[in-house]
Amino acid sequence: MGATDPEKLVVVIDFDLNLDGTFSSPPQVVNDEQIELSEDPFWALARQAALDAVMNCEPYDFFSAKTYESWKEIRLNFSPAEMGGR
Amino acid sequence: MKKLLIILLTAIAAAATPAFARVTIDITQGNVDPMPVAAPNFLGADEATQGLGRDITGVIMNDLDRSGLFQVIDQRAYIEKPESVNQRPRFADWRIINAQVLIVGEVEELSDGRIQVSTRLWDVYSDEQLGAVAFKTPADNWRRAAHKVADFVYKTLTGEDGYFDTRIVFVHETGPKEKRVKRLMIMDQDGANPIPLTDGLNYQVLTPRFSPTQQQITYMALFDNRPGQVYLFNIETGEQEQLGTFRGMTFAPRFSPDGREVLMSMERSGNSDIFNMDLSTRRLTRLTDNPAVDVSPTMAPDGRRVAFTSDRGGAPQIYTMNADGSNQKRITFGQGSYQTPVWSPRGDLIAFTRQYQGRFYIGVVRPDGTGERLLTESFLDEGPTWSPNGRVLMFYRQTPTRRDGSGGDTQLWSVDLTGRNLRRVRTPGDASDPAWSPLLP
Repeated sequence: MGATDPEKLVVVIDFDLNLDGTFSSPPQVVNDEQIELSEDPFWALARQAALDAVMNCEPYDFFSAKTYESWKEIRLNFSPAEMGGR
Repeated sequence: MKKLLIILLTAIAAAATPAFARVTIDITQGNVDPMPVAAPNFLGADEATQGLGRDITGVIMNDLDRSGLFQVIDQRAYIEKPESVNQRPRFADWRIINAQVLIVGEVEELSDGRIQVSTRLWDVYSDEQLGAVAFKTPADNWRRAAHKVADFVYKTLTGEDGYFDTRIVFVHETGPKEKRVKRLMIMDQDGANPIPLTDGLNYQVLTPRFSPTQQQITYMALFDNRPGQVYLFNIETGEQEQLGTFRGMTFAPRFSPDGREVLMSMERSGNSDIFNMDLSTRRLTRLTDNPAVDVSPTMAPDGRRVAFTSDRGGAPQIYTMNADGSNQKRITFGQGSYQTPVWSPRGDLIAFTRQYQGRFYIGVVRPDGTGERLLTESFLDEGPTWSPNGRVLMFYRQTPTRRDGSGGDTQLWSVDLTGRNLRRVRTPGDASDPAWSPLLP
């Protein structure tokens, strides 16, 4: 929103799920170090927003238990480029 | 960057990949639901400060709500009643009503008669304090303190400067159409405290524009007996000063971003060109020299480029040039006409009024001419002005009541860059030509 190059502010989050859709390990920001080093306040906000979103959605109980093997480990690439305000 | 409140992950099921691999999903569309915010009335030790606390909270809630980025949760839903600004909230009580952020504040009367407004901002999900701020101010200045708190909340949660502690200058219109009195008025950004600046009796005021650095405006004044001219007006002293005397009409003035120059159009024997006046020397520099009508100059915040309207290609379209007038090029090519370009204070966009097949649109385009987006449409939308953070546009809209386009009223409206948050701005009577101030010092 405030950043002039939002397409660069990608946040990558890994998380693992139990069969009931709860986290089996806390979500990890894969590119956390890169975000820290950049000292870009918009990127830090994007990271917080992405983490909040992932946390808010737990439990991920809308998947079928039959396909558990296919969704027990998830990686989300948040790419703000096309999100509102621009 | 907004908080994503809901992610739709149902795509995962469809995208089921071979077992044992980490599913990778790209999220490129956010749900831009406003962020739920709770703001209990600011506390006070006695009746007077409690009353001020209620008023201040009301102003903050209204600012945040109108921005479209926040949804203020109804106070009746609150479970915890905070007793002190220094007490740690019971976060569970706020999570249960789905608040994401909690604003707690307090008003104290100081021994010198002023008040202190203290505020803490809490992230309800992470149980953390996001920030704290305190302002001291005379009690009758409480509205500005409230706007400053709202700007603090906005900046903490979005990462960019707010725009609530700002003012709007506009043309206040009264009387019948053929004998319209147009005078200059100023008010707070939220419509409070409207004050007339000119009486509108001896001359009419058009196209007021704020100085980016001072409490000063420039506008065109129209007198009965001579061509319209560009003036400077000092808001604090009420002094008016003519910017040079010219045989032709000068109009559509706008300050340069450093406040040292005024760009304007001058009309001589039917031809308009763009000039730049240095305010310290009053010297005029010609920037365009073209038999077509060149009007409405606006300078980029870095002072290097100027956008303007020209009909040299037929219909009026937007062009840009270097600040010295060189390297002129056309940037819009759509059907209809484009007028009144206004460069965003952020530099990344130029707002404009577009007219096409009898309808008016407020839109934005990148300075290189790509990415045009229309944000509003109506019978008559005109005169966009940017909030100082480049996130909201205010403009005026005429809503006719008769089929021939007459009747009805002219009002100020605002819309943000998503085009989704269109709001009417409260004014006393009819209003046009708004100009948004910079953030107040």
